[in-house]
Amino acid sequence: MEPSPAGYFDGMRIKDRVVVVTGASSGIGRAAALALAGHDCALVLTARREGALQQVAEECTARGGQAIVVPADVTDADAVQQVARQALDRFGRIDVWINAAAVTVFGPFQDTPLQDFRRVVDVNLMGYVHGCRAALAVLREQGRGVLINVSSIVGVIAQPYTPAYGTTKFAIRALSTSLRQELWLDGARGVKVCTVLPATIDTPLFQQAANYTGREVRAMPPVYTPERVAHTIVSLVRRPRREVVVGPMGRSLVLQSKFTPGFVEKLMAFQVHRRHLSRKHPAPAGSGNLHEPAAGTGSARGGWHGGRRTALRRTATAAMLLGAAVASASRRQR
Amino acid sequence: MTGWGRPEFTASAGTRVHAAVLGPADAPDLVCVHGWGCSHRYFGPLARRLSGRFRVVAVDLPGFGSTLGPAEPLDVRGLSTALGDWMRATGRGGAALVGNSAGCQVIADLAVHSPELLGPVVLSGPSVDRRARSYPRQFGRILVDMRWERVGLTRLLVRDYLRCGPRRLRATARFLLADPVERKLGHIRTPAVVVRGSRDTIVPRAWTRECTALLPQGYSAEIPGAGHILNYSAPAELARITCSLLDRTGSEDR
Ligand SMILES: NC(=O)c1ccc[n+]([C@@H]2O[C@H](COP(=O)([O-])OP(=O)(O)OC[C@H]3O[C@@H](n4cnc5c(N)ncnc54)[C@H](OP(=O)(O)O)[C@@H]3O)[C@@H](O)[C@H]2O)c1
Repeated sequence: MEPSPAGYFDGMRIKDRVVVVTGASSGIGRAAALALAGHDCALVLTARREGALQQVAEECTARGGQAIVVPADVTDADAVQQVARQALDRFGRIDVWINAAAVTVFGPFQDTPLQDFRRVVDVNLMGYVHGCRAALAVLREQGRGVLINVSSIVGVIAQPYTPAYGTTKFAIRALSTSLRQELWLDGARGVKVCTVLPATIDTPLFQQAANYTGREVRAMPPVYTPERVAHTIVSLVRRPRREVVVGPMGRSLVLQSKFTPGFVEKLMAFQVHRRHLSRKHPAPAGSGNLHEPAAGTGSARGGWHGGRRTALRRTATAAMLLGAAVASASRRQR
Repeated sequence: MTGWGRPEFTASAGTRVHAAVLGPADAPDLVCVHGWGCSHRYFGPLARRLSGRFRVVAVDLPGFGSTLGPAEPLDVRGLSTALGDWMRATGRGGAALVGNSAGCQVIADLAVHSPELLGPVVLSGPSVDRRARSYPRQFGRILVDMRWERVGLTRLLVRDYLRCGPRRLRATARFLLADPVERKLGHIRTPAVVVRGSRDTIVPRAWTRECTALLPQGYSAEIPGAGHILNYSAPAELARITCSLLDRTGSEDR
């Protein structure tokens, strides 16, 4: 609870942390809130849908954590400031702030309505800026804390038909780095800024997206579970790192893009064209949850079978390894 | 040495009341009321964090700390009358009040007979849980709680207890255990916040919930990972919660 004496800091015990989560009503934010609640954390949940947040709060309490709900639209700087205030009013400090509220629009650049493009930038980028401002004011005063910005591997390798989203995800990495540098120059060693770069995650993001491609948006395989990202976030609180990729496919893509950027760029374009956008199912044009939240009380998973697919991939990998082992063993015996 | 400014002595309540003071002379006053057997001393860490905005005044009730008390230990009404007397004598009526543990009982009792003296109130770890009003339970809980407190507190408390003496400690404990504080909280009509540490074994969550519900203008706060003596073991958090209460009431511009 006390600021660390010399200001040196390498992570904290996860138990009893006060954590603010934006985008807590759905997907990764929701999964992170639940995981942290399981570690006895006190959560401050925010997003637009109050009903969904109430449900998350109840689930958090059932897992042994505490939670308060503060609905806010992250594009409203004052509302985000109010979230921080409420956290302090209720829990007296903020140990961790997680920015995960985002929206996206699919569509060829010229066909995407400008107001939708602008809204994505407003929510994804300015929303994080508002979060960072509110959070860092408190973390710096405390001399301690972790700020976690959820970007995406799309923040390293862009995709076609989502220029707004990709732009914001690149920008978030720059934002995090810049803040980290300022903190370092100021000698604020107790405050850490981390960026999380997930690969495709099984969340409602794709159903909720605005879409002007005329084709249905699908989760591009391989799909990983939101709980996996939540797990990474928990580990970042314990041991902050600058940037972490979630999902082995994401890691290999990021690595490969350093050596063969041109090839990876084309590979990504091809994959999105072939596998992200359905070739069979058409979809009407619509602005998704950009301007109004989706109906219902939300969920962490998006129904893309992330869990099953992960299990299948693991089984396949295990079988392959086993096969290889058997083959090499039998060869040696001969 | 102690981190406090110049001590203040006031002839009131039939004795010479000592108060430790920290903060600029022109800042609004914030009065701290200590718990069972304690004194101004354990408010030091909280005072340091609030002294930028407030003139923190931690009073020693008669018989505790550096204020001599009558030979007969005072009961809850006796303590609250003394507090009221001292507040009138020093012109602190309407100041913000921060109580810890039994200090909250004294403030609640003050609200019954002198409500005009109360400003916004912070009740941190209000005692005594209605469901555990017996010696063995309270002592058991106090011992368990020490696990969650910051090192240094035990030494400080032991000194205060020795200074107070066993006779007064025992008599005061008896009065506090018999005090029906739940019937008095409704008299605190000013904005108030009830704060507990999430690991506090002396003051369970159900009890602070009950207390908050009884306050006409009350809300609650909880500091994760903290124990009972928040002013010593979680002073930064308690300071922020105190500031939020006062921001809401705008009493700073009094
Ligand atoms: N799913 C993936 O494949 C994937 C991959 C890489 C990175 N990510 C990133 O992970 C983060 C979470 O995404 P997700 O997949 O969990 O998406 P999601 O399920 O659609 O959740 C997005 C969250 O943002 C909230 N939100 C949207 N607009 C908002 C606004 N204006 N104000 C406040 N809250 C708003 C939503 O709640 P309300 O609608 O209730 O406001 C929801 O809780 C995002 O940063 C995303 O870019 C996702």
